[in-house]
Amino acid sequence: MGLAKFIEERTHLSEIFQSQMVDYKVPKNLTFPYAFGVLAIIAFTVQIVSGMILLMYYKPYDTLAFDSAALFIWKVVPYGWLFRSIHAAGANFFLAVVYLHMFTGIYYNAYKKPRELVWVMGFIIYFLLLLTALTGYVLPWGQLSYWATEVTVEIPGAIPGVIGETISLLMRGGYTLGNLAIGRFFALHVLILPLILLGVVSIHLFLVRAAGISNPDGKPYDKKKEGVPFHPYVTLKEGAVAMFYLALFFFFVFFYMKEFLPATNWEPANPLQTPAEIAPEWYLKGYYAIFRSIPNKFIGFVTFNLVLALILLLPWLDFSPIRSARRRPLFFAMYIVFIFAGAGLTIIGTLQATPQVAKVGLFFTALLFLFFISLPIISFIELGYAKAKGEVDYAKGGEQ
Amino acid sequence: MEASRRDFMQYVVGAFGAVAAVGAAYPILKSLGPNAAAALQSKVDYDVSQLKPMDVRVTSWKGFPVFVMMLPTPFNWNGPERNNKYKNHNRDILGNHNVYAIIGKCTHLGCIPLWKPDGDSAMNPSNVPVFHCPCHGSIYTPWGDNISGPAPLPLGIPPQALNGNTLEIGTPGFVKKFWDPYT
Repeated sequence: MGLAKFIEERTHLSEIFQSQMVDYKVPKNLTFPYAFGVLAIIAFTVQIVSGMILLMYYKPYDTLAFDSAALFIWKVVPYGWLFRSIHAAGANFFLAVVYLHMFTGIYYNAYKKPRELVWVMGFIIYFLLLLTALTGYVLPWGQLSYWATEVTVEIPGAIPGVIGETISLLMRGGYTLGNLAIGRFFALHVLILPLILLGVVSIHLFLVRAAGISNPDGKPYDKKKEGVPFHPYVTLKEGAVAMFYLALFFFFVFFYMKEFLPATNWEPANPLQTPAEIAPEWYLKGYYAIFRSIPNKFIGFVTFNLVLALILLLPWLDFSPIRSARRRPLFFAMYIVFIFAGAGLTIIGTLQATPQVAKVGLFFTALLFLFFISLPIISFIELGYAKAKGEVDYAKGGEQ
Repeated sequence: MEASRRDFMQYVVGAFGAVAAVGAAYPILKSLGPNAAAALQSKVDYDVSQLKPMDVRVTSWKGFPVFVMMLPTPFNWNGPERNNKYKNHNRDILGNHNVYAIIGKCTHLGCIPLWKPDGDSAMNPSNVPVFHCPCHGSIYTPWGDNISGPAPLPLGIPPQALNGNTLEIGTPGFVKKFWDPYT
């Protein structure tokens, strides 16, 4: 106890705990999906810890990469199989949790004033996360690693003129995907991107606290009457959710890894032989389905980037004074359309590209855009509704 | 007077900062670009003066294996054709040129086809010169059009120009654009 007192007198940690955890009041009606943020932080930690272990044994060199990952880490390093499984499954779980987190934010309109910057920072995290997953995927240097990356670095080639080819060249370091690419993807994946992510996640968390957490009703609430202390009410609840999440995660790690370490990737990369089925990981399949459903390469490229841009611009597309899909029946209907289109595109992305599949892909792409187009229209309707009900003052941005 | 001097200093410091930022970004970006060895692969000159009719030589362009070949003039080829969208696709692109380069990577699963000037015994008629992919038995015409076997598309054709005895692969000439079956 002497040591605890010694540290306390010099750091005042208990004061920070009191002010940040106990005196921090959050709405008491927070629903289950509000836990996805904490789960994302846990998934990030899992990736960093397992990545640190893999970093000790992985060799970023074309003749060594596959053997170091598939033989040395898998068979020779004690518990190496465990850390590689955790890292591979963890990437998928991380992306899944982040998608659920974003869908929750969209459902409760957590991107609206005063939380626009929270959304923008979150989007940057999402984008960096896709890059991190993409750069990590090449490192095992298996057949899927090689060819999925080859296809990915060819995508900027859709930009006409020299710009597209220049970007492809910068990504590969030349005309062939080889050692230079492994080296830079390795550096990006193990240090540069995680370091930036750490910074951006910190800013995101700071902004969440600065703007205050949204509440599922979307109505202004009285902090004193309707708030509960973060600790122990929410910490214990989220702790329980986190334990359940980890149990589910480790079920997959131990008993069901075949989807996360697919068989094709246990063959070393062969630059002269494309596997018959080549498609990106599931978290990119939605964009991939849009890209290949549109018969023109450049327009496909523009369209899937437009979807990314529209997600970023969501706070400005939706300017309705009413928050939360609970109180917005029109928005709720379109939200269902959005989820349906997103899930549809992801499923379409797993199918082989026949003309019929491309047609269905175009239909889902249209639905996706219908959601984004409907937002300003719904906002206009609800603006009139709010004015009629005399809720305009609140619309101008009352704290909630 | 004080204020304007301070303003001036502000602009100067800002300008030098901007120059320094650009100066730092330039080598970083350049270090990521292709090095001299890689840049050499983007344009390959091949001396065809030593080639005899029906010869095929292998070189490399942008990491692809490339067949440089010379057909006799006139050259009559009466092998089979595949009656689909890609019928005589490469032959039309290459026109009447008898010296040209095609990408030597089978469009089925990426093996390197073999040149069989006397035909392939597995084929009927077997006496026409063809490319035969040993992996799964795809057959291509001397222009790289797929005529039988599992290969879905003709072989790729790099942009190329013929300048005297030099076949310039990678330089837009009688073939202007890279026809790439993989994109």
